[in-house]
Amino acid sequence: MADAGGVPGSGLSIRNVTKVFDSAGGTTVRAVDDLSLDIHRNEFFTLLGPSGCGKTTLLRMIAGLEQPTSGEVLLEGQPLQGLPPYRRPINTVCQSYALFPHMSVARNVAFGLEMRGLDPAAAARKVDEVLNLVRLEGLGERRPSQLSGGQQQRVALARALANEPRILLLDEPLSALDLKLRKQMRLELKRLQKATGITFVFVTHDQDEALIMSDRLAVLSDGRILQVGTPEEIYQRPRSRFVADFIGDSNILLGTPAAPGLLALSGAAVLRLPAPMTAPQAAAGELSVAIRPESCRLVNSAAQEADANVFPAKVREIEYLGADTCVLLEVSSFAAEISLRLRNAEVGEAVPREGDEVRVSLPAAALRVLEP
Amino acid sequence: MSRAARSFALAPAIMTIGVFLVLPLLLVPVASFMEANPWGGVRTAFSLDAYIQVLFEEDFTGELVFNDAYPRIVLRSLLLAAVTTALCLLAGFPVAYVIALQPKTRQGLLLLLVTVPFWTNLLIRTYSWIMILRDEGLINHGLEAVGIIDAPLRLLYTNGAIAVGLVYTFLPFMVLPIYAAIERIDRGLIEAAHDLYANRRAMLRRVVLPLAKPGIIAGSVLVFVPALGSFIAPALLGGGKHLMIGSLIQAQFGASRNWPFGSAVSLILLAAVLAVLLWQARRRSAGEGLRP
Repeated sequence: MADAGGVPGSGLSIRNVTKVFDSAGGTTVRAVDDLSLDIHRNEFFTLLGPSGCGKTTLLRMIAGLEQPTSGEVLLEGQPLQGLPPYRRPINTVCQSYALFPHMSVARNVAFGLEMRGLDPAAAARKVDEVLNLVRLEGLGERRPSQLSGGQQQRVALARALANEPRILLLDEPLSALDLKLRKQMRLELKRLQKATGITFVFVTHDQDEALIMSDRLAVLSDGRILQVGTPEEIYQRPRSRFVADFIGDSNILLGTPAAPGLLALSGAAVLRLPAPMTAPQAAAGELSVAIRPESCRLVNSAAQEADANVFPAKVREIEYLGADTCVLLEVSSFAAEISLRLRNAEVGEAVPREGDEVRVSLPAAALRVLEP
Repeated sequence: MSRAARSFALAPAIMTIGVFLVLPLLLVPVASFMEANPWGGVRTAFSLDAYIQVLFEEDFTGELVFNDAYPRIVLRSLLLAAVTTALCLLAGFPVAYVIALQPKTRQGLLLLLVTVPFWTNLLIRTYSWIMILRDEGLINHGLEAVGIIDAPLRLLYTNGAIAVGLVYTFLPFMVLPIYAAIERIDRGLIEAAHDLYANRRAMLRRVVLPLAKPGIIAGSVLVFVPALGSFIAPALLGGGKHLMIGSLIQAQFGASRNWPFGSAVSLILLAAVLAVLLWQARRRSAGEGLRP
């Protein structure tokens, strides 16, 4: 992904960072647990995870608003430990935007520049330039309360970008916007990141945002990183059940390792895997396998090569989604449900009906063996 | 509800306000235009003596000559009230800021502590300052014991003593509204200021102070107005030597038996306070026009 931006080895390094919070009643919460991560320079990096997974805490530690309990954060090799937020070349756009209500848009955007002692004329030029960049030209004299949610969001972006930070942190900045505006801002953010060359670290719980915008992303759960990779890697080769479930839809099948490359499902069914199992996989008592709904196929005859993994099934439900049709199948031979996606443009009239007896193929090449 | 029924339902409220607020207040201007009765109260005869007396006195020949004694008392009162307000602001703002930044549960306790002095009689609280400030008091004894001074410092019965007493009495009126204003400020704004390279001082000056302004104005009015009319602190801590406008008025209805003069000075004080409040209200509405 060299063309997608990101220069390895010279960005932000998070080394074995742990953050423990004392909560009420004397118990402690491990918000971030021995987490290590390298974010490349000039890349759009996303921290993706459900609420409470520690992604916002991690972001606040990078910003300097929280101190790690242990571990360290390095920017281009320099430790940030002990530097207050106002001494870090890092700016944040937060979920609530936190625009200063008593200042005009231009004063808001100029705030960081003035604090760093830029002379007023240069600051005013920079403010104009950045307001143009986020397409808010001419709104400098308004108060934040006079702007729409989308415009306030752009002011928050402009206020951060004006400082030309080394790293821009974005904490769910799109979650307060309606769907249409959100889709528009995704592209806008991507454009801004490319135009400015600033490293963006974006926090979200929205898998679509993560897949669309990121050069690379990390999936977090319970304060740990489950998987880091490009959107394609994460979507096509999820390593764990959590990642397979959290990003996109997955059919998860449980079975026990039989012969090398064969998984015995419940009943007498056997699933042929894409490759022989690794030693730890073969040693596991139970293995999960994931397959995306769009990778499953409806086939006509049982007489296919063994890698096709064909099973008889009955159509339980049909869901029409416009471009796609989602078919829920009940597979009796291993007593599980499989959901399958057909592209309506491809199948044409050949969409099955509820109650039809069909054959489903789970191609071995599309199966992902998940970590035990 | 019909008009008649509504006036009937409102009658008790109007009666209460009329009897206990409007009527006494109307009596003040009426009394101020009458002659003083040396035995107390007023004689029902029209006279402007009370107002003339504010600025002039009769000399031996019966001629009216300018006397600056009362204007000086008014001026001193304004000055002392202003100094009190400034000191309350200096002491009260940090207290309010620190309380507002505490966890919610501790805020309640600290606010309770701020209001604890209210639960004791003002007279007793002021007497306790006499214990602290007098020649054989806590401060002088303390300083002598340490050997910093040989003879007691003159602390009691000074303008400074009055100011100390006033600041002590009115500090909570400054702390509470400022606390309320700061407590409403979104913590995200403070973090955003730090994130945008503002250190603590710049953050306070550029974000907290402007957003706490409504509380600062409310607190200043709440301290300035009663401080201007106070008479217990000047009487006890100023020893009656340093009269304030409040003590002057109180004396006219007591020892001096000059109700018209007391009423006239009261009206002048009322007019001054109203003028300050109106100016403040106009300034605020002008300020709000900027941000609809």
